[in-house]
Amino acid sequence: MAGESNGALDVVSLVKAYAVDVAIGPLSFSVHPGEFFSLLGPSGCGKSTTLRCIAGFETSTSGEIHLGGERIDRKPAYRRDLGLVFQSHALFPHLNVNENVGFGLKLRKIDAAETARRVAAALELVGLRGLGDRMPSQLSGGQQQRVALARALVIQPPLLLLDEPLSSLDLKLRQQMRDELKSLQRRLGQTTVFVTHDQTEALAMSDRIAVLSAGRIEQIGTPQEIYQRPASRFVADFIGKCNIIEATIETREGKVVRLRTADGATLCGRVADDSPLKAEDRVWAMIRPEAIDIGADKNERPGRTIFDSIIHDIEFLGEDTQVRLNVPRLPLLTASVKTTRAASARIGTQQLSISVDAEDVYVIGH
Amino acid sequence: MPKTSMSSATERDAGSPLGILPAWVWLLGPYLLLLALALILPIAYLSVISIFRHDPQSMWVAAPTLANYTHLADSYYLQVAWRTLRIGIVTTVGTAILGVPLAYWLARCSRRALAIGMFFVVMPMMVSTVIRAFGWMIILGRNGLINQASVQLGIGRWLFVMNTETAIVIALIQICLPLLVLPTMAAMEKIPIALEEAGTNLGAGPLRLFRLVILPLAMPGIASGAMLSFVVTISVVVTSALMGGSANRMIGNEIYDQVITAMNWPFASAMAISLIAIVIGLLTLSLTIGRHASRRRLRLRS
Repeated sequence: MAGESNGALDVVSLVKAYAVDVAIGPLSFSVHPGEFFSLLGPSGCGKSTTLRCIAGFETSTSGEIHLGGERIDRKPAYRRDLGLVFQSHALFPHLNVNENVGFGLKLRKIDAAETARRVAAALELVGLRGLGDRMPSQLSGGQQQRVALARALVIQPPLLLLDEPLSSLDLKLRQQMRDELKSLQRRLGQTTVFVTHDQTEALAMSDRIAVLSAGRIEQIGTPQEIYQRPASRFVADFIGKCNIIEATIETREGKVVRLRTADGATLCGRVADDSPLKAEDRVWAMIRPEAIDIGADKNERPGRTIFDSIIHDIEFLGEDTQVRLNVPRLPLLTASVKTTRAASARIGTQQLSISVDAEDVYVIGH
Repeated sequence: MPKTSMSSATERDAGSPLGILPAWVWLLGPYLLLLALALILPIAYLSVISIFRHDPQSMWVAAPTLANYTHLADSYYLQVAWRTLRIGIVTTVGTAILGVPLAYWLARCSRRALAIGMFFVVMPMMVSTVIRAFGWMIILGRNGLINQASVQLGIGRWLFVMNTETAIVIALIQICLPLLVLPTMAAMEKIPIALEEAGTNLGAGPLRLFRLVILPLAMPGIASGAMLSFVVTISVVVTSALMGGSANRMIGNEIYDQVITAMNWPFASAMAISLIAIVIGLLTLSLTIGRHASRRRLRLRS
């Protein structure tokens, strides 16, 4: 039902200055038609303010917002025709489900028969057929969320904005809604901007993610790019767990670099293809816990670094087991292994030989 | 729920002197006692006197009669009753028109503005009604501030509002404003900002947002404020006497005169009981309509 009027969103040098708070921006990003785009960052990073500028609840200090080629940032919020789902659902408590979903259609002077048809279709879409006469207070949190989604989609917005819509739900429901929301968005081809502080949600749902910190974009990329090739220390730290080692480049051959830490440990890593880093540059080496290979094979291979380590402690997390390792001349490393019998046997010993491939040691400049 | 906390309080207090009686007796008792002595007893007394015959010497004779009530059907008293209701309705509507936007502003303003705003809303309540009426007379009178200023400006006297119903309504609106604003504000404060944003996002401009979202959700507060205003207005004595003069008497003035001047307590009682009956009748009616409307809910109109 939505999708025919989907347009691209272009945010150009958006700035929101506050008297007391940290300023936001300048931010620039584009969302392609049909794309699921996430604004991800810790609280106070400016993601919600950005969304509120797009929705029209905040007036940007400077910069422009274009939707489908039309400039919208000086239009009043009630003329922007965007769909918006709030964290709190924000259903009208004095109206039943049909009236809530039909609210936007009535304001658009759609006639009663057409409204009834489209409301029913929207409720069907979110799996709430037959609940139109209920009051919001008679619905569960998940159902309220679906009504809020139906209310936003029924006006066929060119752009759907989601403001942490899942964070008020409990874990199981959140995962279920995440999948449903994603498949619904795909099916409708609905251009969507999703604001979240939950990296798992962002990674699972997004086509692309913009990671924000302190009012600035740290990186824009696909979930894989963000996770495997973080552009900054902040991104590496914020998305998933990461071992971050400070080092200096000794030599560089193509993508592969040889690193030396201040304490004299050496390891191999790799830089981005277009990275300008060269010998003597100070860098961060970033190793994901699951990239550390625990003791399985001790054969030397080009680009592979082998360390002897002593187990510091072990944390059992169910599916995974997290092992913290003391490695001479390196900071405490965290490795993560699947909880299999073989892995359990290996980490049963005190001393462990670990290895990591250069491909898994991603190196960025300071 | 209060029941469980009460009974647990009672259990805790068992043994202490307070525990002799259940907690609700201590909590409600004093007020119930006051209510019985100062309200229920006098009303019962009044309703009995109201069917006694008036006697100039002994004030009344215990001879049951409906004469006091039939006397009320006199066209003069019907006129006073209608004027009283009219003033009540006009004042309440006027108070709501002024008070609802004010309440909304107070509900949404900053903490500092709220403190200042609340001061100005509540301050008039600290001044006696007599003083307030005099204040209005100074401003609105034939030789009041407005007319004097007009004369100075060469416009001449033009405001002849004293001793009219309009003057009564003006003074009463000032009295009723805090009574309506406070409950309305309390109801509006509870409306989450997200609901307003949701309405705006769905395409409602400021006026439609107010009509479709804020007004229906604030209605319980507005209704209780309006009821307070109405009840206070139709039982007023001093304000109507000072602002309306002898030509615009309200039920309260008639009762006052019968009690103090004519010493006809049976007739005054009949009027008082009739007024109470009218108030209870109208409140019941409006509550029923309100409940019916909220059950039917406010349908959206496009």
